[in-house]
Amino acid sequence: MSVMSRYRTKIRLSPTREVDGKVDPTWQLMREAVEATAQELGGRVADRVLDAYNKSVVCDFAVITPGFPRGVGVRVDSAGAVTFIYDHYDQSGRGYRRTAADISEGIIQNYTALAVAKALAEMNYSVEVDEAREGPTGARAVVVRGSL
Amino acid sequence: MTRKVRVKVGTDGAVEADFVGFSGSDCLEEAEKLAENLARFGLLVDPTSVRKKTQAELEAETETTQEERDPVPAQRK
Repeated sequence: MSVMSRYRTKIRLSPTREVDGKVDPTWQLMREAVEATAQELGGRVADRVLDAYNKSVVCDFAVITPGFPRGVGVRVDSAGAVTFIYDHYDQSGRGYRRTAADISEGIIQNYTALAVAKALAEMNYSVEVDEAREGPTGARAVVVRGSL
Repeated sequence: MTRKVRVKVGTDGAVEADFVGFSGSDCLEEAEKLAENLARFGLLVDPTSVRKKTQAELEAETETTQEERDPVPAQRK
């Protein structure tokens, strides 16, 4: 029997960043996802974001891009749940909601793809990762292929 | 037949998994194993739909596999 299946996903990191002096794999994966997203958008990784009044807000990871210099932050709570923080307010009324959402979606997509690639590799699959564009909007999809 | 897994990740993190070359309930067991491994990497998955492949999809897979098995066409003399 061959099946096609669809899944909703939720990211849940380990509540602690380090165990016995070693970075937990889920935190390492989040770092890699944040770095990949920053690189794709021509930005950089930081540990704080700015609000509309230039007040600094510390977070676990942040992606700062030329299109959204205030940045999008990643905060992990004591249960490992992930929240994205950003201030999309813009005096001109245009707002940065879509730009900020693009960054957070990029982090979620990259984290998910990296997790799938690593999980398949642990199951002894040879893994390849590609990108594809889909639908009329050309939305980005990441395709992970594993073969045994 | 080579066993393959193709996973497409959307912008919202939703995934679509396609298991090729598994017989019987092997693909469901493999999907469960993958879900367990994903949880270890901090990714919790919740199935929203699971469907058997259509005959056309299965035939397309078989054709692809045949091409992969014999990539160089036989030479005519």
